[in-house]
Amino acid sequence: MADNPEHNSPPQNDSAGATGAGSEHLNIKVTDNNNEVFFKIKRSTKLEKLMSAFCERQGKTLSSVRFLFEGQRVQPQDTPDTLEMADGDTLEVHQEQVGGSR
Amino acid sequence: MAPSIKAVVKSSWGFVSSALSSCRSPKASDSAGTEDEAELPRKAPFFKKGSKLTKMTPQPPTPLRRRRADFGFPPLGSERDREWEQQALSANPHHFRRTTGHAHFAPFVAFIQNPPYPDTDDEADTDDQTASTPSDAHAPPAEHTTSPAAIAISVFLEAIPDQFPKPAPTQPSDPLRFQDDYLTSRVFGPLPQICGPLPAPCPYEISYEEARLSSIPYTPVSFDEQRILSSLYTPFGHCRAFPLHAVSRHLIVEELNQDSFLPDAPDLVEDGSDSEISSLHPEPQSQASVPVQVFPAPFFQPAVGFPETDDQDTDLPDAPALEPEESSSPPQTPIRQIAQPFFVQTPAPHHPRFLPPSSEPATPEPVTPEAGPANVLSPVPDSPGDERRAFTYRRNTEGKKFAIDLFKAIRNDHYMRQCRCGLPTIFDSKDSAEAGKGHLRFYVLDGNRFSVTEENLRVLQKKTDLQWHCSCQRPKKLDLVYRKHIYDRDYINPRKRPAEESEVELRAHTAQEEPMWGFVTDRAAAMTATIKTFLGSWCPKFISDHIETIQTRSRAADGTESAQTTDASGDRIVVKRFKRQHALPLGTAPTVDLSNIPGLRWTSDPRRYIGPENIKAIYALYVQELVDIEDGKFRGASSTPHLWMRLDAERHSADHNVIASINVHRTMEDMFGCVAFDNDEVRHEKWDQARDKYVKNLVGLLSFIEEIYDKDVEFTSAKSRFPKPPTDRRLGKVEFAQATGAAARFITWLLHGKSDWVSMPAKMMDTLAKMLADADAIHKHELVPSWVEYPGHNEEAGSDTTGIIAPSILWDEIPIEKFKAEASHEVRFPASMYPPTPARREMPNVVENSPVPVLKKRQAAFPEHVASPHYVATPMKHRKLAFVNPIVKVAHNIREPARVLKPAERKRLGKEGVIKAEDAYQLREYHLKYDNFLKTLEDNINLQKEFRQALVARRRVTKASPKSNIPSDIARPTTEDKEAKLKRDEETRRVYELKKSLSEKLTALKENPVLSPGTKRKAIREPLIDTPEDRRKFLDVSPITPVTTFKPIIKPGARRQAIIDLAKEATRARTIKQEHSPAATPKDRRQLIDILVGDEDDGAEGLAPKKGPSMEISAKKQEDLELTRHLKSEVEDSVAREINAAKKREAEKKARIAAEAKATRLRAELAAAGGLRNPKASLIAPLSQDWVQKVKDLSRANPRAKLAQTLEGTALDRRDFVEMLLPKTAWLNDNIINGSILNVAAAVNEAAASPEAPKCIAFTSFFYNHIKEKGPGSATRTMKRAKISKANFLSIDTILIPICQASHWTLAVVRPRDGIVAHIDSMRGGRGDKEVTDTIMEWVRATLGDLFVSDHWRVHQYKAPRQLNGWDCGVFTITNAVCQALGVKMEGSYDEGQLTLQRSRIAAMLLNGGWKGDFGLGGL
Repeated sequence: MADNPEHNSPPQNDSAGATGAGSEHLNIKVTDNNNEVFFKIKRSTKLEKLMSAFCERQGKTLSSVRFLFEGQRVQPQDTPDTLEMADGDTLEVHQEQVGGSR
Repeated sequence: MAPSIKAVVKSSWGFVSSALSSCRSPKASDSAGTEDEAELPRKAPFFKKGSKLTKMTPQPPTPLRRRRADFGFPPLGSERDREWEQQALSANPHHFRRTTGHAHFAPFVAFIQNPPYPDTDDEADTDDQTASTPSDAHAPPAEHTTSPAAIAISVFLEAIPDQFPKPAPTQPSDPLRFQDDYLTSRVFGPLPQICGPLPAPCPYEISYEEARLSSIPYTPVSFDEQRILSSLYTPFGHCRAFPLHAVSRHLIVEELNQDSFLPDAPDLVEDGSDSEISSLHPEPQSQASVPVQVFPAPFFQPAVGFPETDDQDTDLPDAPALEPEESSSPPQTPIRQIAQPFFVQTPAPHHPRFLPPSSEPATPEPVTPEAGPANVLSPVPDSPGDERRAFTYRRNTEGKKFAIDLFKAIRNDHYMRQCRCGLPTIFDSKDSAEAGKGHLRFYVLDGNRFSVTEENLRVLQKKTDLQWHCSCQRPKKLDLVYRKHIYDRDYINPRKRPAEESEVELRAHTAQEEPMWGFVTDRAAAMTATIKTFLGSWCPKFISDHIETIQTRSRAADGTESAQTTDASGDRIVVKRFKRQHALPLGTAPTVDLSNIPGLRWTSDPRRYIGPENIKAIYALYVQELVDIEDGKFRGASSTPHLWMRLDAERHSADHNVIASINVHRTMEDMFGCVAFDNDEVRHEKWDQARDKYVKNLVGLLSFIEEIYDKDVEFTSAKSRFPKPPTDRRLGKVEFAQATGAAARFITWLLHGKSDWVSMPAKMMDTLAKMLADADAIHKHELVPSWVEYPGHNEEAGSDTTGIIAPSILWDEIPIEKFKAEASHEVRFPASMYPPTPARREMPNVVENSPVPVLKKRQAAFPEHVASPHYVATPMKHRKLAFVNPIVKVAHNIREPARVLKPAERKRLGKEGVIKAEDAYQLREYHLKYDNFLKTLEDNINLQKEFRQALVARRRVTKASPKSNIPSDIARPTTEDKEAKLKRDEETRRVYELKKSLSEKLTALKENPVLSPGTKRKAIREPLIDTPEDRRKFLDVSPITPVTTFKPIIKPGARRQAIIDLAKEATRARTIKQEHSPAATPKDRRQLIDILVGDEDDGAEGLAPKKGPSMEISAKKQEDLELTRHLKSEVEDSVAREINAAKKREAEKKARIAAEAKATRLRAELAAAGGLRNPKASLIAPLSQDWVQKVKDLSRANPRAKLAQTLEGTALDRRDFVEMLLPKTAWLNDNIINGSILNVAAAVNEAAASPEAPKCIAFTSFFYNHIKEKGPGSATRTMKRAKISKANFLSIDTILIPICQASHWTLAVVRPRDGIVAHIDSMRGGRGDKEVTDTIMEWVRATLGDLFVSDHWRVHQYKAPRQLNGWDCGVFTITNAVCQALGVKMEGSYDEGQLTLQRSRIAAMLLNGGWKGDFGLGGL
């Protein structure tokens, strides 16, 4: 997999990645409150890959988590391009919001 | 029981018949025979109160139930009855028989009054009064006081109960005891009545009071019991036999359990009386001997070998059917093995010494010494006291086969009862049997339980051990039935709840009937067997006795014996008829040709053969019967015995006709069968029908008698048609033959009945028989005995005996029992000629069990009649009862509101206001509906009234002066009038056309610029003055409305001036405006002409232009006038126009002011409501069927399929819908919330059609958290996506921000135009959280930057429906978002109860892809 996640890789790779493959590859941090996972993906890669990889790693189902980018829901078919993501941007992983009463 | 009694009992069975036939009085053979009769009744209380015999005795006088009294049945214990009984007993039985005709009851009565044996058990129970009487105190031993007849009956009566289980003395609390007493009292009570009417109460007619007074245990009798009782109760032909195989095992064992009956064989043999009786009555001997020999009872035999079982048991193909009780030869065949796995089929060695029980003669032979029971049956039980004597005796008598037969009997009994219990245990040895348990203990001698033969199987009885091996009989006991249901209480629905009391009762009720019924059936079956045996031997005797009595009596009355109708035995009716000539089976030749009888001719008098006085007597008899029936002089009853009882009781009264009563009753039973169980009403109805039928038949018979013997019409005509009596021709019309056939059948029916029931003089029967022969002959076209004569017939040739043919050659004598008055074709083509139809199976009286393999496991776990053992109907307890005002059914529902108020309206009006408003609506509707109706009605009525008045007036007028004075309005138009009208119409039409053409021409002329004024003038003048007549007519007929207002103003003098003025004015006006006025109408022109004419004549005459015969005006003047006229109308028009315009302006102004005021008000309201208005329609409307179905189908969708998509592209799958939305209490997830709210915004923007300047913006639920955590400025990208900018922010109507905090959905709203920031929390009724509004306000401020005017912005607390449950906040949030986006008030627009529907609506909307189409928001 080209976009193999590098687990807990330090962020100093950023500059290298940005300079090396500035237009080609992005480092994206995916984090819920406990874990942070870094992914290096192409700009045109669908984020679905990233999401499912994260879920698989964390042992969650895709339907129970919400990936947000700047408060905006990330759809599986989105790519970093469509979301205008920059290198080092963070995807937040939230739990599904469910509510019924206080 | 005293042994002497037993001796008598043993020997006396044969006595019974002789005792009854000879019937010596008990007292006559007694030493104390001189006792006075008054003592006799007092002997009744001799019995113990509860003993069986007491229950059989007639009870002391008790008040009868009203029902019986209704029938006119006198009280049983009436003075007359007692008197009669005493007479009967005291008198010579022979005398009694001859005088009353009920001699056969005498022995019973005697027996009952004179009990045959005393009750030795309990003397203390006897009545004190009777005990104190000397005769009772010194009552001699029973065997000395009773007659043989009484003893015989006592034997019979005692023998029956002895077949039944007696309550064991060691078991005072035996649950069966109650039943035994019960059964005995119920079943044995009426037993004597089997043989005929006895003045004792029917058991099922004893009321509670009677029972209480008479110490009969009172139990309400169920229908089935009644049926049984009736079957026992109905004498003779109606007695139904129950199959013997229904005998219970209980009976077997109880029989064996009897200690009291140990037969003594030598006694039997040596009993002299027995031999004497048997020689006297050899025929009933064999049957009578059965009850005498108690121990080899008939009950055991059917239990041992069932023919059905043997036939249908497929498990034993090689086992020959053995019926040991039938075969008198020694059993050569191997004994049939019991088909159970552990039995090996080994042919048992033949043992010639032991015979099957039933092959034994009536008096059992003593066992031969070399095969003595003691030798055969080893080991002999150690403790003889352990076994009942009957058991021991029988085992000893029957030998080795006894054990295996008993085992088989038990097995068969199990099979018959469909019992699921196991068979008795077979022990390995006698020791283990002794140590074991059970009442009957089977064991094998050689320890080989697996090959049981009659050689090695033995049985022990332990009479102290009352435990039977199986329990299947136990639920039959009443208390156990109840206990079973107590058990069932836990059994019903064990998981959910204990059964209700009513349910237990229900089960108890349904279950209780069956075992009870089964129990009764068993007993009754056994009973019937005994009774059948009894009847088999005794009833014929009784019957013949009875008939003999009748015969004797009738002969005594007649003085002579009729040799013609009675045969040698003297009690038969014989129909004597000519030998058949052609009414014979096909192919059979007549034996004699009657047409060749010498001297055969018509008789001179058809009455001679029978005798005029006989005919008259019969005729009178039936006429009397007819009259009596017409007068109601007959008696009805529920059953034949009942009828007998009634007739018997009223035999002295003359107000009823016995024969009529009996015959109608017979007819009824022929028609309807047994009517004993119908209620009175039904029975009366049936009775009426039967009576009608009987009367019809009777009338037919009487008319037949008249026709044949009185009127002679048919006879004369036949005589005239045939010179000699024909033997094969029809003598009258077909109808006549048919009528005679009916009469023949009726007479046959009568005579059949006579032999059974009705005593009648023999001569009358003879007459009837002769009439029957006549009727039958006419019916079958045979020679009619009454109508012919020949030497020797009709005693004509009395003197000359030479040519007489022997009657036996010419005549047939057919006993009435065999006589059938069937139709000729049935004689000619009898049923035997045709292949027999498959015989219909006789319906057994007891439900037949389907053949089931004996030892196979049964499939059905429950009895079939229990439809569903687990099902218990839901009790009615929890069902709500709705009160329906009965007035509603007749009156209009005045409380029904005409319009359902919206929630907001309801809220505004309050409870009282709602009711008032609804009432108002209702009333309005009501009046609308009913006032119109009433008005129409009133109009109609008035119209009718007027019409009627007019009609009356006209009539009056016509009547008063038919030719004159007719009111013109009602008078018919005459022909003259009609013609005139036609003429007038025609003229009108012509004038109208003329005017039209004129106006057209005029207009054309006037507007033609080419023509010179002169030509114009000429042209105008010409048509106008076409002919003077035309013109006159034209002027004359003026159908047009009155002319304009100023006409009256113009006085003749001022006319000219006015016209001139007008013209001037008009000219002035014309210069101002161009002429646009329309062409002058004919109307105008007419006025014009009016004026014109008036001008011409210049004077008062001008107003009457008609008068002028000819008028001419100058063309110039006409033109001027026309112009003037035009001008005038224009002036008028303009004035009117101005006035109208002024009015319009006024109205517009008013409307504008009102609209402004309204707008102001609305604006004020809107401002107060936070910029929200009321909805125009219901916010949450029901779904259409299509959508409902689609929503339903969601649950079956593919779980991975993408069912819908939100606007941000999130796929919604089945889980989102089915788990997170549709269940009533599901908590909504962000997918649903965001999908819905984004769609709301989209829908509003689409409606606004301004994609670049959105009216409504919706953020997702993650937006708020984002700006809260990251700060208000962190959402630029999101806002850019949502097309919000600083520039357009203030032009946005609504911004919707769903918030999920702590598992609670709320909605934040920004309304930039109104400057409102709000947070709507459904749990707080719409009020918001300050933290949220602060955050949002921060975001607004950050977004607007320098455009933020703090005065413009405020936090508004909206009111919204309050959430009371714990799950609907998401739905509230969505619905509030809809309201906000539309600018609609939330509170009052919906309520919490609608939100379950709203869930479906949301689901459907999401499927639909937004709030569009069916879910469009435009209508709100």
